[in-house]
Amino acid sequence: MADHDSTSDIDVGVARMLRSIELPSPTAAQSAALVATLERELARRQVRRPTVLVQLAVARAQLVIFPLGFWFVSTLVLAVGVGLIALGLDPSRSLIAYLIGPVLAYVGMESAFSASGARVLDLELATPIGPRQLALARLVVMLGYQIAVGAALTLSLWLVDGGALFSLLATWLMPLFLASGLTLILSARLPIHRAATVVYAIWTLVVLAGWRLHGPDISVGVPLELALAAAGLILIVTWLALFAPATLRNAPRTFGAASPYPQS
Amino acid sequence: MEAVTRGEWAAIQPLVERYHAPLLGFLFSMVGGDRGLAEDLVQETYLRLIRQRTYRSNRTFKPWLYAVAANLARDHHRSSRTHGAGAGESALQDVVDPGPGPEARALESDRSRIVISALARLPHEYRATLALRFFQDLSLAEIAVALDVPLGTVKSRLSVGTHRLRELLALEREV
Repeated sequence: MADHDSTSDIDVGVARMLRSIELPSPTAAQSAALVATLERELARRQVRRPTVLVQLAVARAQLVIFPLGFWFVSTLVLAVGVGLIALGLDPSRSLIAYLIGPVLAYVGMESAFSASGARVLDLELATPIGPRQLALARLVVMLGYQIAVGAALTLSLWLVDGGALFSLLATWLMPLFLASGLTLILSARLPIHRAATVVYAIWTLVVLAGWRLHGPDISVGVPLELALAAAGLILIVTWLALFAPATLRNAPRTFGAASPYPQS
Repeated sequence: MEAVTRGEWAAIQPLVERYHAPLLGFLFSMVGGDRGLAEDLVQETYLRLIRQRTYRSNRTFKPWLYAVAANLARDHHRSSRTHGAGAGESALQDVVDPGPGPEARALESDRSRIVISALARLPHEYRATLALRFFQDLSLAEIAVALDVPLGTVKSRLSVGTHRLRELLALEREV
C-alpha cells in the first residue's frame, strides 16, 4: 500500500483524478511478440561467447558433414603409411610421413569445407552459431580424428618397432598442420578443393624434388619439423580469425541452384 | 532478473507478464499519449535490461526498472526537442488529432486525453514523479530510488507537480 497522500502537500483533487485515469494495456499478441524479440536478443548474446560445452556440441553436430569416405580414407592412408614404415623402409620413413600429411589435409579439407552433398550450408550460416564456431568445430573433428588415428597407429608402430616416438609423430604431424594451414589461407582466394589441390601438388613436388636431390632420407630434423608444425597451426588460427566466414560462404551449395564451382 | 542476467531464457516470460502492462502505461503517460512510441520504449527498456551488466540481486527491481524507463523517456524527449519538435507540442498533436486514433480509443474519456496532454506539458522530472506515484502506485521511497533523488525532493515534486497540473488543466479547459 502506497504512503498516504496527506504526507505531502499535494492537490488531492488532482491526485484523485490521476488515479482514476485508465491507461492502455498490451494485447496478448503484443506481449508474445515482445517475448520473442527478447529471446532472440538473449540468443544473440549467448552466441558471442560460446562455452566449451556449446563448442563441443557444435562439433558433435558437425559429424554429419563428414562423408564416410573421410573416415575410411584417413584411416587407410595412415594405416598404409605406418605399414610401409613398419616394413622396415627406414631411410624412407620421413619421405612416407611427408607424403601422408598433405593427403590427410587434402581429404580433411575437402570433407569439412566442400561438403557438396551436405545440403546444410545455408541453414548453418543462418543459425545463431557463427561461421567461426562452425569452422572451428569442423577443424576439431577433422584434425582430432586424424591425429587420434595417427597417434594410435604411430604408438603401435613404436611398440613393435621401437625408435623415437616423438620424432615419428613430428614427422607426419608437421605436413598435416602445415598443408592444412596453407590450404585454409589459400581458400580465402580459391575454392577450398582447388586450394587443397594446389597445396598438395606443390608439396608433393617439393618432397619429390628433395628425394631426387638428397635421397630417400629427406627429414629436416625434429626442431624444424616442430617449428613448421607450429607455423601451420598459426596459419589455421589466422584463417579462423580472418577468413573462415568467407570460406564457408564460398563453399558449393546444393539447394537446387547450380554450384559456381566444379563439383569434385 | 538474476535468471535473465545468467541468460536463462525462460525467465523472460514472467518478467514480461509482470511488467509489460505497467511499463506501457507509465511510458504512455510519459510520452504524451503516443502509444506507438510508448511500445517502442517498452521494448527498448527490456532490451536494456538484457544488455545491462550492473544489476545486483540486492537491488529492488521495480524502481530500477522504472529508472531505466524514465531515462529512456527523458532521452527521447531531449532528442525530439533537439530535432525541432517540442515533445509537448508533438505529443499534443498526436493526442488532439480530431480523428479517432488508437490512443483515443484506448482512453475511455475525453477527460483522460486532456489529463495526459496536460501532463505532457510538465517538465520531465515532475511528469515522472506524478506518473510513478499515481499511475504506478510506487511508494515515495521507491520513487526516490527510481529517480535517484532524495525523499524530500519527491514530496516537493508531488506537491508542485499536482498544483501545476491543476493550472494546466484549467488552461486546457479554456482552450
